[in-house]
Parts: sequence; structure tokens; C-alpha cells
Amino acid sequence: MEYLLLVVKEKYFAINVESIIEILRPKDITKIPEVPEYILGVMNIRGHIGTVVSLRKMMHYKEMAEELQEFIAEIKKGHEDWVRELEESVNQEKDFTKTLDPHACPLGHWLDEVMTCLKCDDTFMDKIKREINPHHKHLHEKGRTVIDIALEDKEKAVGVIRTEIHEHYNVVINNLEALNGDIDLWTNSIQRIVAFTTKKGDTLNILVDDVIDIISITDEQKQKLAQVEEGEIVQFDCAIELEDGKIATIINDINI
Amino acid sequence: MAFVEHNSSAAHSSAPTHKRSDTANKRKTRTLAKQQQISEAIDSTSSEILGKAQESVSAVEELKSAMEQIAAASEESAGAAEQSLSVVTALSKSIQKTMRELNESVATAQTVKVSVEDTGEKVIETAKRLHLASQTVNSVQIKSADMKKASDNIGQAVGLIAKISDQTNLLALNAAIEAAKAKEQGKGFAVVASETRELAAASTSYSDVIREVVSNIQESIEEVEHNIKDVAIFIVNSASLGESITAYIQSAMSDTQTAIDITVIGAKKFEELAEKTQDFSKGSESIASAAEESASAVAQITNSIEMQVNVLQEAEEAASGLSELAEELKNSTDAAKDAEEISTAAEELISVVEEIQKSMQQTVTALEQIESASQITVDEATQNQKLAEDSLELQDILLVDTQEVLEHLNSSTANLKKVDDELSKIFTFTTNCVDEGKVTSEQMALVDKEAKKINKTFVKIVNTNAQTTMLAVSGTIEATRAGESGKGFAVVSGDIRSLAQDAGNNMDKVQDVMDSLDEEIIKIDSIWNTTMNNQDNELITLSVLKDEATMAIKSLDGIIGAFDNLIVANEKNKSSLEEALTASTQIQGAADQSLKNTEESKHAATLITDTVSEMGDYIEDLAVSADELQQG
Repeated sequence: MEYLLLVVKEKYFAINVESIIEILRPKDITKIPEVPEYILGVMNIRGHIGTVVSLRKMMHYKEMAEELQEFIAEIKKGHEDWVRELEESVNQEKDFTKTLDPHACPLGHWLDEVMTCLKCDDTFMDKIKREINPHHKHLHEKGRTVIDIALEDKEKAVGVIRTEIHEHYNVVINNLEALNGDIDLWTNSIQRIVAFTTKKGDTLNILVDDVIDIISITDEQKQKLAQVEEGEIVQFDCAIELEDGKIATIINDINI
Repeated sequence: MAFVEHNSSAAHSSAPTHKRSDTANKRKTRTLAKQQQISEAIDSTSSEILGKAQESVSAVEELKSAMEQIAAASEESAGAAEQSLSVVTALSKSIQKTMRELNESVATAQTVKVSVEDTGEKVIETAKRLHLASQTVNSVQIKSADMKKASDNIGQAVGLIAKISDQTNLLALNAAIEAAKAKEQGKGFAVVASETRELAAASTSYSDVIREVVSNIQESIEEVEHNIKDVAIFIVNSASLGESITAYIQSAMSDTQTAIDITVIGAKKFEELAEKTQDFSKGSESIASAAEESASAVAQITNSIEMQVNVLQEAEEAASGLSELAEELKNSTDAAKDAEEISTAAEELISVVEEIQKSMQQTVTALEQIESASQITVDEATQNQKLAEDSLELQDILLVDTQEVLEHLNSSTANLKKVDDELSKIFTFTTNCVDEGKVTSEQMALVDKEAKKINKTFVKIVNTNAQTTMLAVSGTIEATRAGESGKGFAVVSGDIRSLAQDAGNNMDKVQDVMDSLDEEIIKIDSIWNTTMNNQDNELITLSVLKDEATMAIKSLDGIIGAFDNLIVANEKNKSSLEEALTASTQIQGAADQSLKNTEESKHAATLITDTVSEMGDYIEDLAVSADELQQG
């Protein structure tokens, strides 16, 4: 049997292609009031109105946007600490334990990931590339300069922290916070919608992180693996092991 | 003066008056009385003569001592003149040497000036070239920004292609779903869908390669931009240093020129000094010859004095003899014989008087010679004093001049050292510039290589897109054959085809951008290599300029050494001149003294002449007495 392999929060799920209509890009989802959290809204699909549900929410996960917001808050604190420790290390002549490599910190990882993502929205990518990445790079590199200067002139080093380092830090944080308004651009560009027919015959448009491939799963494969617990809304068939050793859970039906 | 003639004013106080007697006894008695009378007169005259002779001798002694003083003064004058002559001859030699050195220094300074002027012109040219180079580097900076923009554009265009591939992949996935749902009838669709997906994946991975290459290129370009900025700063700094060097060179040249000007004027003053020393030498020679003349005149007088003393002694003896004769005569019976003896003695004395008078005439002539020699000595010594004083004044002026020249030369050297320092800085800047330039060239070569990689990969994307289009056409054909169950697949195939078309349009744009990037790289590379070659050549020029500056400094140091020696020589010259001045003053003093001594000697000579003349009168009286005696 052919299954569509998809991913949500780095977890794999498989859906029988028989129940799939098509795969779409999320676009202009209109929210509707007083519905469960997992119903994201409605979307125009080839002239018809389709309900969009979130697989993340149905699995009680946070949405990507929320995760990014949290990530941004974390980054802000991390870099705040970074700047403080740098100043302390200069003032108290201590070793600086945090990284001076702009690619090594969590924000660096994320920026590299976004910038190498071919799917990412151009506007979003542009903001990352122009408004955040260079300043973040300079922030860490100036840290190296400050440590070098501190060997010769402590006050001058502190001066650089208070001027250039703070400046770069502020630009990075302000622009990251400004990104909150553009998160949809990013999620919409990388997330996918799977148009799905329920056993009842309803069409549900499921928002997933990404679709990977169409795979064949034999009955033997299915038998080998343990049954999984039934979810409240999402009904699972079983879990299977994929060729590369990853585990995918087969979704049988969704009942909203 | 004729002293044999009777002087009307001569005294005859001792001459007795005679009375003749007719009687024999009376006559005899009278004769005896007269004889006694005459003998007394002779005695008294002889004493007078003796007295005059003694007076003359003492006057001659006086003359002798004056002569000794004049002789000593002449000797002193001759010695001082000789001494100052040797001092001034040495001085003259030193001045000649100094003048030669000054001429050499002026020639060297002029060579230095010409060389520095030449260096200055070369520096101006170098500064101009550096200025041009900085403009070129600025233009390269702009071009490198263009290059970066071009690579940016490639990145964006490739990003678009990647998005299309992603979209193609999505559509292919949908096609695969359609195929799976169509089961047996969808088998053909499944093949098309999976091949399309493979192509889309390939396209994506090619895009990813290009994206990475573009990112590498951008990093390299950033480094290139950074280096170009550094190079631009080096060149701008060098160019501005070139301008300050020009100012230093101007100062060095003007100082050198001033030093030359002062030296040339100074050389004229030295010529004046040389003339004055020559005049001084002439004066000293005159003084020496005057001293010689004076000495010979003194010798002459001294000789005649000895003779005079002898003669006067003879006169004294003769006078004494006469006194004895007069004593004898008182009781003499042979008056005639006595009278003859007296007459003979008187004649002898006359000849003494004549001799002394003649000798005195010569002495006076000699004294006149001494007087004129002393006068010459006084005049020359005065003249030499003035020359020495003027020369000392000139030396003082020359010392001030020399110090001024040294100041200018030192300032010139200081400025040339600054030139050397600044040239060293430019040399370092240019070396750094060339080094960074090489690194930049390597980075640009890397950019070029990477850009070629993009071209190759891009060709693959273009091919992939062509294949996708072909597949989409096949898909449409399959779907048409499948009839009703192929309807969904037909829609997807159509979508894929139009996407591939979009991709194709974008690829044309990418090709344009890539071409422009290639062009920019070639342009920059060529300009850059030319500029860096020029900078490399500039290093050779700078070495030459540095050598020239070092040579000029060395030459100036030589001149400064010569002028330092000049100050030492000046001190020596001054002490020589002071010595000469002292000698001249001494000579003048001695000559003044000689003049006085000559004056006194003349008085003495007059006195001797007068005394001798008086002695002559007495001798005449004596002769008269002798006559009377013979007649009586």
C-alpha cells in the first residue's frame, strides 16, 4: 500500500494515499471564532472553502510560530547573558566561557538553517540575511576584538562593549522581535497542507510541517510493529520502522 | 758747517791783550812776561779744549746708548715682523685651504640640491601615480560592490529556481498520489511522477550547490572588499605622505640654497681676508726691511762712534799735552820750538775736529735714515694693526655666517631625514599594499573559479528543467490516454509544464547575471593586476628615492663636517690675527721709541757738532797764541 510520509515536530506520520486528495501550500487561512484550537480556520481551495486543522495542535504540540516566538525570547536572554559575561570577563579579568563563533550559538544554528533552506520565503529570508545575520556575526566577532583589546586596555574594551557590542546586540534583538510579525511568511513557506478525506467522507485540510515522500508499506511491515494508543481526535493504526530506522506512525482517520 | 772759519760769536774771554815795550830788558822782561802770559792762555785754552773733548765724549756716549736702544728696537721690530709674517703666512695658507674647501662645499651642496630637486620631482610623480592608483582602487571598490551585487542576484535567481523545483516536487508528489489512486491505470503516471520528482530533487540539490558556491563567493568578495579597502587606505596614506615629503623637500632645498648663498658671499669675505693678510705680509716685509735699514744705519753710526771716541781721546791727550807744554813754556828758553810744538798740536786737534765734524755729518745722515725707517715702521705697523683689526672683524662676521650656514644645513639634513622616514613609511605601506594585493588577487582567482563552478552547475539545472518539460508532456499524453481516471493527472502535468516554463524564463535571467559577474571579475582582475604591478614597480622607485635621500644626507653631513672644521679654523685664525695685532702694536711702540731715540740722537749729534765747533774756536785761539809766541 502507498502511504504519504509527513513530518510534524520532527516526528513522522504516514497516511494512506487513498484518503489523500492533494498536497497544497498554506495560504490566506481565515480564522473562525469559537472553534477548538486545532481548527485553524478556512482556506480557499480551487474555489471551495476548506477547513484547515493543525496536526500539531491535534497532537497537543505547540505551533511552529509559537516555538519561534519562544526561541526568540530564549535567544534574547542568551545574548543578554553573553554580553553581560563579556563585560564581566573584561572587568574582572576572567575567562570568557561563551562562544565567539557566530555559527556556534543557537541563533547561529537557526540562522544558518534558515539561510540554507531553499523553501524559505524570500522576504523572510531577506530580513534574516540583511537585518539579523550580519549584526549577529559582528556581535560575536566584536567579542573577540574586545577580548584582544582588554589585554592592552581594559577601559577601551569596556568602551567597545558599551558602544559597538550593545549596538549590534540591540539591532539583533529588535530585528528578531520584529520578525514575530513575519512568522507566517516563514511557516507558510515551509509548511504544507494535506487535503484528506475522513472515513465519514468529510474533507479536512491538515497543516503539517512538511511532506516527505510516498512510501510503500506492506501488511507484513505493519504486523511487525506494535499497536499505538488511540488519540482523542487522531486515530492511529500502528507504528512502523522506516528504511533509515526512523519510526513513523500511521494515521488511520481523523475525527473532529 | 765750516768750523775753521772764525765764529763772530765765539768767546775770546781768555785771550789776553798785549802791550809792546821798546827796551831790551824791558823787552826781555816783557818777553818773559808775555811768554808766561801766552803760556797761561794756552793752558787755559787747552783746558777748555779738554773740557769740550770730554763733553763731546759724553755726548757720544749718549749717542751710543741711544743707538743701542734703536738697535734693540730694530731687532725687536724685525723679530716681531718676522714672527707675525710667519703667523700670517700660516693664516694665509689656512685661508686658501678654507677657500678651496668652501668651493668644494658649494659644489657639493649644489649637487645635493640638484639631486634633491630630482628626488622631489620623482616624489611628486610617485605621489601623482599613487593618487591615480588610489582612484583606480576606489573604482575597483565600486566594481567589487557591483560584483557582490551580481553574486547576490545570482543567489536570488537560483533561490527562485529552487522554489520552482520545490513546487515541482510538490506537484510531482500530487501526481504520484493520483497515480497511486488510479492503481493499474495509473502505472504510467507513477513513472512520470517519480521521474519528475527525481528531476526536481536533482534541481534542488544543484540549486543548493550554487547557493553554497554563491555564499563562498560572497565571503570571498567580502574579504576582497575588505582588502581593497585596506589597500585603498595604504595608497591614500602613501599619497598624502608623498605630499608631505614634497614640503620637506622644498624646505631642504631652500635651506640648502640659503646655505649656498651665504657661503658664496662668505667666500668673497674670505677673499677680502686673503687680500688683507697679503697686505699685512707686505707690511711686515716693509717693517722687516725698514728694520734692516735701520740696523745698518745704526751699525754705521756705532762704527763712527768708536772712531769718534778714539779721536776724542786723542784730542784729550793732545789737550793734556798742550797743558804740559804750557807749563814748560812758562820757563822755556826756546819759545819758538815750543810754539812750533803747540802749532803742531793745534794742527792735530784741527784735524780731529774736522774728522768728528765729517763723521757727525754722516751720523746725521744715518740718523735721518733711521728716522725714515722708523717712520715707515710706524706707518706700516699702524696699517697692519688696522688690517688685523679689520680681519678680526671679518672673522667674527664669517663665524656668524658659518653658524648660520650650519643651521640651514642642519635643518636641511633634518628635513631630508624626515623625507627618508616618510619614504620608509610609504615603502612599508606599499609593501603591505602589494602583499594584500596578492592575497586579493588570489581571492579573486577563487571567486573566478567558483563563478565557473556556478556556470557548470547551472547548465545541469537547465538540462534538468528541459527534461522536466519533456516529462510533463509525456504525463499529459498518458493522462489523455487514461481518459476519465487520468483527469487529475492531466491537471498536475499541465501545472508542472507551466512551472518548468517559468523556470526556463528565470534561467535566462540567471544566465545574464552570471555573464555580468564574469565580466566584472575579468575587469576587476585586469585593473587590479595592473595596479598591483605598478605598486610593485613603485617599490623599486621608492628604493631608489630612499638611496638618493640617504646619499644627500651623507653629502650634507660631509659639508656640515667641513663647516664644523671651519669654526675651529676660525678660532685659530682669530688667535693668529690677535697675535699679529699684538706684534704690530709692539712694532709700532718700538718704532715710536726709536723715533724718540732718533730725535735725542739728533740732539746729541748737534751738541757734539756744536761742542766740536767750539773746540775748533779754541784751537784757533791756540794757533794765534802759538803765532804770537813765535813772533815774540
